[in-house]
Amino acid sequence: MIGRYIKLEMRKNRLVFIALVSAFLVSLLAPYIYGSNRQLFEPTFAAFIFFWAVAGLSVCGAVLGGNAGAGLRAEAAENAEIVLPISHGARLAAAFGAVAAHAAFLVLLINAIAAVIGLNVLETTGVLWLMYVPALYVAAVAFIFAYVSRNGFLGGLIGVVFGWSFGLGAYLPWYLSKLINPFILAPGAAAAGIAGAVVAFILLTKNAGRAERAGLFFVTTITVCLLLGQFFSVGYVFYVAEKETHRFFKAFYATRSSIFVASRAGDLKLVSGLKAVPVLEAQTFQWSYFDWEGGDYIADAICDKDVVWILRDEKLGRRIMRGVSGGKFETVMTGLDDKSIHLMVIHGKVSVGRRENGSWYISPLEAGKAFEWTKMEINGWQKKFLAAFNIKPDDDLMGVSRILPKGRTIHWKLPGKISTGYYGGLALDWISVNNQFLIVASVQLEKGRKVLVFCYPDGKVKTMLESRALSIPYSVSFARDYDEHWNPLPDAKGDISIKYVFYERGVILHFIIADGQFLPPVDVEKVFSGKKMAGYQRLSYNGDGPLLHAEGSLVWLYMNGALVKYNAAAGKTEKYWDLTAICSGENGYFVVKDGFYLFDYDNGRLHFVDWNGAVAKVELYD
Amino acid sequence: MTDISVALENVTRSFGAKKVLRGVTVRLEKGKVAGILGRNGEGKTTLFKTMLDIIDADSGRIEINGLSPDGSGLLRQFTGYVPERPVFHNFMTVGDVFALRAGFFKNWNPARTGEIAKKLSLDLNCKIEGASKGTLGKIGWVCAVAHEPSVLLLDEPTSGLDALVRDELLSHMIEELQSSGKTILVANHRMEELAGVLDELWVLAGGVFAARYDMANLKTEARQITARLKAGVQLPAGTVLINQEGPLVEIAVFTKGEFDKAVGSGVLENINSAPLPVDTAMKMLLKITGENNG
Repeated sequence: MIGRYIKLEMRKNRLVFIALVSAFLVSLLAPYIYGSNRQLFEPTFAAFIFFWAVAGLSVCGAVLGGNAGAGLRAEAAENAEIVLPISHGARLAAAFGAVAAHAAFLVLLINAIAAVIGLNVLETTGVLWLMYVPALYVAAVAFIFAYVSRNGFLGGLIGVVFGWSFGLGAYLPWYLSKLINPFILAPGAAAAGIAGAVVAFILLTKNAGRAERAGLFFVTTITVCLLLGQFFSVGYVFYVAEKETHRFFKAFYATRSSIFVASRAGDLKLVSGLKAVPVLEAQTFQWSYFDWEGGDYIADAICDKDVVWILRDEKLGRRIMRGVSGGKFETVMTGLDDKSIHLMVIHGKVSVGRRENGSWYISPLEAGKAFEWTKMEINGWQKKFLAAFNIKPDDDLMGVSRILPKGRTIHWKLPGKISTGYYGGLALDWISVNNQFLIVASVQLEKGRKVLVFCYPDGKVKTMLESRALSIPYSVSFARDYDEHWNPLPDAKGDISIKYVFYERGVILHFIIADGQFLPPVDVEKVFSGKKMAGYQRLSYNGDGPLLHAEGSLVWLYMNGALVKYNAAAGKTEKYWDLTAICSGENGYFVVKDGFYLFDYDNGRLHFVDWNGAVAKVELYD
Repeated sequence: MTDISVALENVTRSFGAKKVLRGVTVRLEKGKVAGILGRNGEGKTTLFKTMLDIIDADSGRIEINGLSPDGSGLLRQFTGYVPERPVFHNFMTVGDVFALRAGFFKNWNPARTGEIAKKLSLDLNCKIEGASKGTLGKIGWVCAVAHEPSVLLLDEPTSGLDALVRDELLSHMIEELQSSGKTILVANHRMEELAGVLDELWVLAGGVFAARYDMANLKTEARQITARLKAGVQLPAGTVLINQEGPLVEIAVFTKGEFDKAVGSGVLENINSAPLPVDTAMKMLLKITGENNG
């Protein structure tokens, strides 16, 4: 019978519900004003979804609760329903059940659309609960006060006020954690809830009839439940946040065969083989649990022999710390601004690099000294190798010269301007093929086309691989200087020896095996066609590219949970490993000597996968 | 042994400082029809809602066919109620209203519903929004009886209805009342319209049933007395003054005992009497109610 009443209540509130759903759906059209500009479209869409998840649902809860609560006391409802053979308590519970069902539908709808679009913002564990509880809380408060006052607007308004106090206390603490302690606000909201219950009690006992007394019972029960729920929710939010915090890890290379793993909790571990050794312990509680936009966490780490250097991102600024694994860390330098990108590098000595206005600056790290920033030239990261081989690009980048050891200068005129990369480097590198020293450059032609240019010792140039989006060679000098840990072609052996790999549009790999000789191009999309992908079946690699490793003409390619050993010479897949069981939609990898570490960011897992596809779990946390 | 269908014992109910029911006690046998006479604000609707378990009594005991109000709503499964102003959900049609009720009342009789609706010329597709008072009254009546209740509570069931609809409903009610053998309590300002079917008449005044009359007796024993009132004396107790011009008075009495008492009181001279029409008797009783309350 109560089911019939819920159905009736849902019918009564159908118009309001349809209006809310329509408002949500119509609002999603707003990002389309950006049309095909996906750079603006996707974040705007995500922002809209996030707004609905955080604020919109609360307002919907207030509207639904207020409307249902007041509707229950409306003359039509009172006269039409009060004679039905159902208790008033059941009637109230059913009315609120309908509100809860509508709110649940909205939560599911928002999540479903977010999932279809593939937004990561809502993909975390417990997010349904985190969205639903506050919406339900607001709905309940609005319902109660609307019922008592017979005024849906007043009830809704009070619901929002209470809801937001709840939000301050539990739902959105990370936004406010810099200002207000949520542990103070949560009891504050609870006290307000109790006060509300007292007011309701007074109102209801005055001239109370059976309906009102049933309402009083409902109010008291629901208030107590909500308060309990609120406390549980606060605890749950903290629990989830802490769990999430440990899942939000990032990694940095430590050595050729080990990596650092840092979580938002502020801890740092050195992962070598299958062991994770604590370098720096997490603090017991941190605001960074909630401060997803930035908080106290380790932004970068680097190893200099036994000393570990840490770039720590804190609310009050960034600081650089130094210490040994498991020991005490001391602050070496402070005062880094938080508007720039900072990276730690070994540039002769341990240094910190800063990206600002498209340029890189670098400063050595010396305890007690101020930063001394030196602007890197456009070829700054390549300076070392360019100097070592006496290579100098022309000022207009339309040519390149090299002074040979015997003093002779060779100048190559290029068909266009040398491409520049994000890190300020030029798409200029060298390779050694058949004992020939070749300079390789990615050159821009007209209309956005690019071409790969080989510069031969006899002064000739040879162009190939004309493409609209030819990537710069893999081991650009930036990588050589900053990060020598990974080279997909470390010890090429056998009859076929892949000397170099060039990326075209990021998905077509061109392997050079001799002067001007390539293996057949490998279209990564085709290689992975039909392979099972983690998450939403999208081709993506959260690393430096799909190529992990090469031996002879065999290459190991990875994409979103699928690992393929591919014979580039024969153009066929030798072996395929489905790794989707150990990774989800958000995954990334770090290649080390004997395999690669696969991060499952959604579930906070780390596995090591060797080149035979053997998987072993790395226990990051006990 | 008589079969008591409705029993109220010292039922009280207050709203704040206002005591509406001060100790209502009454019993009604199964199959009997009782009219509740009382002026506006005397607590008729409060009494009905208390009996229907819609509001609870402050004290006292209510029993309807063995069931007491307990907040569960069970009592309403077996009790029909026509409110003074029937209201239904605006978004429904007449058919929707019946379908809704059918889902809640275990004994809802669809055939009977159709039969009564047809008799009352109700269009099942008619929307509630914009429906006339007459239509709403008819729907209210169908809703009250379609679940075959053993007890019917009718609270001003013809209030606000035009004469045509009122006649239509009353003719149906009379038929229903006469044929079904249900126990019925009816409050109506136009109680004379129902005089033919009432078994008892209860006068609600001052929060209690101030008087209770057997309708058969009332019809035969109520009399109008015309007489000269002796100088310097009061009207005999139990009489109601209808009219007075100097010493000449017209008074009403409702029972044989009251008549005998008035005639034998010695304060009246030149006594003439005639049967008091039942409609006038009821008006007089209503007058008493007002005076007592005032």
